[in-house]
Amino acid sequence: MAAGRNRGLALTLKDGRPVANNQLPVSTDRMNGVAVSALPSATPWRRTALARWAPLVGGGALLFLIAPNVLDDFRLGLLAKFLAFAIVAIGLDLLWGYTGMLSLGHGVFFGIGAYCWAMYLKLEAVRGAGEALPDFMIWSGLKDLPLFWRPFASPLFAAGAAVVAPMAVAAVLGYLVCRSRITGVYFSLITQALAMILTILIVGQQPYTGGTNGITNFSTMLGLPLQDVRTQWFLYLITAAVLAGVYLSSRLLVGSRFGQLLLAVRDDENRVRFCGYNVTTVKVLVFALSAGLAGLAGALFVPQVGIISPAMLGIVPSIEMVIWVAVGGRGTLAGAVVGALLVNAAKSGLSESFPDTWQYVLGALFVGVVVLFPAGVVGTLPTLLARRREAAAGQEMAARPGRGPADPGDLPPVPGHSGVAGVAPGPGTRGGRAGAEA
Amino acid sequence: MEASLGASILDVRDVSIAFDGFTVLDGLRFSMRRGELRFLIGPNGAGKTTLLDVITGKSKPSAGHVFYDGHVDLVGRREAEIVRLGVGRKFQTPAVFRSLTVSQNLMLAAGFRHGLRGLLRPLEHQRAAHVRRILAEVGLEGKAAAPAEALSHGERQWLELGMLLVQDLQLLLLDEPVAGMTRAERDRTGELLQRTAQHRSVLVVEHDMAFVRQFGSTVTVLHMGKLLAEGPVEAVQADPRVIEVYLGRGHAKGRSRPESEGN
Repeated sequence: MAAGRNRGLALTLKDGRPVANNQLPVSTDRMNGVAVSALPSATPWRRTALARWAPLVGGGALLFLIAPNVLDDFRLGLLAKFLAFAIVAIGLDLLWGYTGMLSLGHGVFFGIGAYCWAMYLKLEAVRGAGEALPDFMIWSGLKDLPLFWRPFASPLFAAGAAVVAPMAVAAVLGYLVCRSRITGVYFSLITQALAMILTILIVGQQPYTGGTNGITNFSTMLGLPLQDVRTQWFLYLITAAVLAGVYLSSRLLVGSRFGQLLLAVRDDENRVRFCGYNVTTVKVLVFALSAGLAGLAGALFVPQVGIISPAMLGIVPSIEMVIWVAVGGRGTLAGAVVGALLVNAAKSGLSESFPDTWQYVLGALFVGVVVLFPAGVVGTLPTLLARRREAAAGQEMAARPGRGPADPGDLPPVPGHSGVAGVAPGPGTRGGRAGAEA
Repeated sequence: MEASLGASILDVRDVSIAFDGFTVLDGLRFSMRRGELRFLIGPNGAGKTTLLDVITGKSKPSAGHVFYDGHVDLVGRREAEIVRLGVGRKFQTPAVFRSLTVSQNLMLAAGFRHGLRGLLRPLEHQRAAHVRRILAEVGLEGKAAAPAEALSHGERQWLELGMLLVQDLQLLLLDEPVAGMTRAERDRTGELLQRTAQHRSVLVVEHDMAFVRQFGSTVTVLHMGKLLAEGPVEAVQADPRVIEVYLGRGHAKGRSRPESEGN
């Protein structure tokens, strides 16, 4: 009987093998330090560590050493803007790519952050010019600075609010939505409605918000003239540093067991509940974190471009943010960054070259990427590489029949590569123990 | 029966629930001793899965109580809270996290008592060792690093069982743990179930009478949301009422081993 059982299992494993082999190269990428260190496995550590850190170091060098020395002021300013977008993309990826909650209203959080910092910039400009009120308030006939504007004269308060206010909005909305177990497309619709509501609110409250025109005509930030090239340089470096910090800490987060919990929520939210986790808390936390990152990015964006208006936080910009993540590859943090840079670079490049038709070209590009590479640029590349490597390994294996793969280091640590031979001892010992216990 | 209540791990009292006017559970009374391995059978629509839904907080009964461990009423509590009290559930279709590896699935289940901040740290050694033991117990140690989506159907069932075992729960509710398994896989699952039931109370919803027969446990038969019969397998199978509602109609179906059932 035991022998029969073993044979059955071995056959199952053998049958399951081709599937597993296809999947595994992807899974090693996704496997994190926790899994590897906590459980016995023979993952080629140095190799994966190198593969993991090389792009990171390269990206850092590009960001901090090469780009500032190679690009002219205009291009560097553009890049700084894109880097701020990349921060939004990381937050959105944590929410959508990892946790499976598609927000179509992230422009709201970006906008709240941007407006908070813009209010500070405006008050500093007003004070510098010796005026009493922001220009648009005078035009609207306001006599005094509205009460809620006053604390924003403090850069510390404004910076804090730029992050905390979006988080608070997301936490409240997220709690109401997630507690009622509203998920999937309904969550997306609600966030989109939020984007619409905020746009209408800002446009409608012109005396307090600057209306359609938004808030603009800044002069200095913390005493530094915004027109100065050196200030823009400084802004670039700050943005790059924040992006690097956000990227690294997000990586730590998704590499932890908390990151696995996010994936689990994405896979099967209900099952997570029956594992004993409070799913609402998890989702609210991630939503708020993601909103906070968007707010931070908004605050970095405003001094670079010198204006924030409702057009930059409505439904269309919100959807664009989703496109960055989709094109780059959701579920990979690098993909979010690459997507934000790539799409925005294409956008500005195309609009320079084809001033009339660039939107169509860009649209076609989006559709093409999403249809042809649903995993995005970064999500697709490793799979393609792995497939090529596998094909090469397959050829070698064919040349030496009866042996395992040519280079064991190439493939992850699951024993029994060659099917039955490697697996057979496992069930055998198990069967023995089971027999002893029975 | 009233005397044994003190030792009961689960005591379902007069539970009723209806969906869209259709009564699924109708004043059901049902009780299980601590440490017992109990089988729950019944024809389609008898209310077996709904009973598990009520116990685990997925559905709220319109009337009645579910007492766990003597005095804790589970009705009105949230799913996660009930798990933390010590009641775990395996679903009919294996529900594992596809994007995670086998060991990650187990570690996720094992870490449910940590706060969310605790999840930022690796699993402590003691727990990790426990996870390794369970990994061997369910026979998946060779697949620790494989993604759950690459597992066969039977392996997913074992993984989900393992996810319950790492949680150190008091009462396990298993909905058709051998559905869709090969003969060899069913035998292995049977052994696993035997060992599991040595330390815990286990309630198993099962269609496969051949599988149930090998355990010599008490069988409870549900029909139209009510308890129809209860006793040893042989007695239940000989009961004319049971034969009429379940075995008579369900025998042919039982042989074809339905992959899934809609209730």
